Amino acid sequence: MSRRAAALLRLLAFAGAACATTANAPRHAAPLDLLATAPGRVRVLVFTSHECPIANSYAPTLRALAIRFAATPVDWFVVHVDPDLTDAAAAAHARDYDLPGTVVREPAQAAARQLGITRTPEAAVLVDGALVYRGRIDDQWAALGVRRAEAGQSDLADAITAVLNGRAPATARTEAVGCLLPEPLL
Amino acid sequence: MRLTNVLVPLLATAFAAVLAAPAAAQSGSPAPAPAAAVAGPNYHEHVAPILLKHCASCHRPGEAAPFPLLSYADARKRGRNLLQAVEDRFMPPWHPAPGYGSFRNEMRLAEAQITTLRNWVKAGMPEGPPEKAQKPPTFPEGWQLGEPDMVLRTSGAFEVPAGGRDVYRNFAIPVGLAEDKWLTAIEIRPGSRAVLHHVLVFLDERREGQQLDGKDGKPGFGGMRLQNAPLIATWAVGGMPEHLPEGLAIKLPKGSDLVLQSHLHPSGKKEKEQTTIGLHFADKPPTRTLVSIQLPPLFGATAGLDIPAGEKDYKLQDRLELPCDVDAVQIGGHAHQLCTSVKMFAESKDGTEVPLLHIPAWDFDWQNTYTFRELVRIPKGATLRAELRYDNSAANPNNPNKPPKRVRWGRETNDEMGSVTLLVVPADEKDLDALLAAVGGKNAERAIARAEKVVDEQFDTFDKNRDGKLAKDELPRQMRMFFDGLDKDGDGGLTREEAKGVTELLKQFGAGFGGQPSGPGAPGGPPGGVPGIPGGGAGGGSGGDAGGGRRRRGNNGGGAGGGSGGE
Repeated sequence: MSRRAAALLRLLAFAGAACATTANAPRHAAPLDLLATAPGRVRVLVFTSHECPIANSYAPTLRALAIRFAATPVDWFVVHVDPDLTDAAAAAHARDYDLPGTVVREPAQAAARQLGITRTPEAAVLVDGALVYRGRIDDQWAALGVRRAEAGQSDLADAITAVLNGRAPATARTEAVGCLLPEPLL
Repeated sequence: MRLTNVLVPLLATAFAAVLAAPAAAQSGSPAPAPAAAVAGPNYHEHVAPILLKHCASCHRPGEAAPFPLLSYADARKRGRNLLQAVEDRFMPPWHPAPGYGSFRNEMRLAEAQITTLRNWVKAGMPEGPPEKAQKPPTFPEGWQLGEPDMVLRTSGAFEVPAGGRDVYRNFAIPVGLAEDKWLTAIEIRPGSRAVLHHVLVFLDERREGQQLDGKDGKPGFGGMRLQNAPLIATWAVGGMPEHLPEGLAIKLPKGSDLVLQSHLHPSGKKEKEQTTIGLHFADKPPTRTLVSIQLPPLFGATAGLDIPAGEKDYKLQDRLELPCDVDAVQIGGHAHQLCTSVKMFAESKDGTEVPLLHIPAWDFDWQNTYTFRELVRIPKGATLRAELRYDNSAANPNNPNKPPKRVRWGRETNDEMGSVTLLVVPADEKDLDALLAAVGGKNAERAIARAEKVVDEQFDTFDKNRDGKLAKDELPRQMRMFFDGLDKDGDGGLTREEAKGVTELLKQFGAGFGGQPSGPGAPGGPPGGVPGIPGGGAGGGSGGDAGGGRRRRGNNGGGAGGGSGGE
């Protein structure tokens, strides 16, 4: 099965589940608990929005990170926060941008709120149910419209590496540069 | 290479001017006198008028912006995000400082408008009375300036990768005119609005671009090595096309081609770009001649631009005394990634300052040209002053080098350039020759003065076989025509001393380095003319850059017309 097809299947399996209100019948009876981590596994949630250019620009970076940590017990989730995005549009977006991991929608933004996420793209690293890192993926973007030629700080990768080595990340919180979360539906 | 950088522009055809200008929703609309901020704003009465006027031209389906801002639902959903963008002055993209020069299509929001938006978001983004809802403005479908006289496309769809550094690509566009035409506007329509960020349009009279296009198996060509290719128009995301004012026009000679130099931003997924352009022609030649005044000339090639690593505030300045009254039409700056601010003003003999352009936070990403709301009269005897500043420290997020390193003039994006280009017409057409002489004289003087030093500095670079002499094929292609003149002892190799004779050689051509006319006053090319250079020529340069860049915020005024050149 191709990587993309696999991603699509994962999307179908989980998208509805994280989103209780979706019209598409979820394949999972129980909603996916984004914050539940399996023992011995590291969970990375990358909150994104399909209409945030900065978030979209990170697709190749996320793909590279997923490949880099492919042999480690890291589970990748790309979490859409847009209230209007459909399952079909999320699937098409995942295909177009070749997103790694499991793509889910969270239009109510409950997990985002609980984790203190304010922007897209913004990452959270969870171990044993605890938030050990929250913030930017790296420092490629210095401000809105200000993209460095190369990222200097690989904050997310550093945090993952630390927890895989049984340490706490040296930096637990960074400020993400990107789009403020859209308003959830009224 | 450095030598080429100086000589190519020096010998290239002159002039350039710029047609397109950045624009807001309504072309030419007067700057609104901003009302006071509203304390308890609602969408329909207070917020919609701001968003529909200043944002909707791009924030609507099919345009470059990533989401629409046409309805209450649109605005409420992105309310906090749009407030962040306007408070940051990232949006709308307008970079000239307020009150310093007055331009058409000004997109800048007044502080009071931003306060109104802030108050609305703080109040929970109330909708207000639906009966007060405004109809979104209507925009023409397709060509914004109406059906062009001629529509042309790049040769094919160029694939832009999903990620990595920004891409610069040139696309040759054969025009094939059987007779000379006068251009009043060029409208540019991106194929993929997500990736095409800005475009510089060069006039390629020698049709060199066609020879290069597609050579690497993909549409277009990399780098920028055209000779005799003046810059004639610019476009950046959000820019609306407009006609040159006052019946002015730029000559498009028969048989010439155009070359688009496009700056493409990877978007996160693979995209394909094929650009369409529409040309608008004047019915008759203009009666006034556009002259491009670039300070420093040649995008700074001869200004000795040399920024030490770590230097936080490097200044590049130049000046020119005007020999006659002129009317300023358009202005724009040009510099690369280290530049932090760009300014030009005129100082009258009586000490009065005429503000022309100040971009306090230069942004390489927004290569714009600004058209004055009304022609700006600058009196005879006034001194034009240009001032550019650069930050080559690690603290500059746009610094392409990590750690910072010494940066000099060059065409690649990671080199630097620097100039402000002012497009003027003499107030009295009879003064055209005097104006051209003043502008061209300056270019020649500066370029010649620097040529010898550059040759000396670059001698070892050219001397690939390290025999202490430059063989003809060790010289850059564009310099080889000078070889016989420089090889005094005729031994087939140039010593360092012989090569430095380039200054004397150039002085002999001094009369050829005229101004940079782009109007009817220069139908046969600039005054003088350099022997052996088709098209004769003066001042302007050619060139451009290649290579990866990066984006930055803020502003960049740039790209204006001047001589041509890099970028």
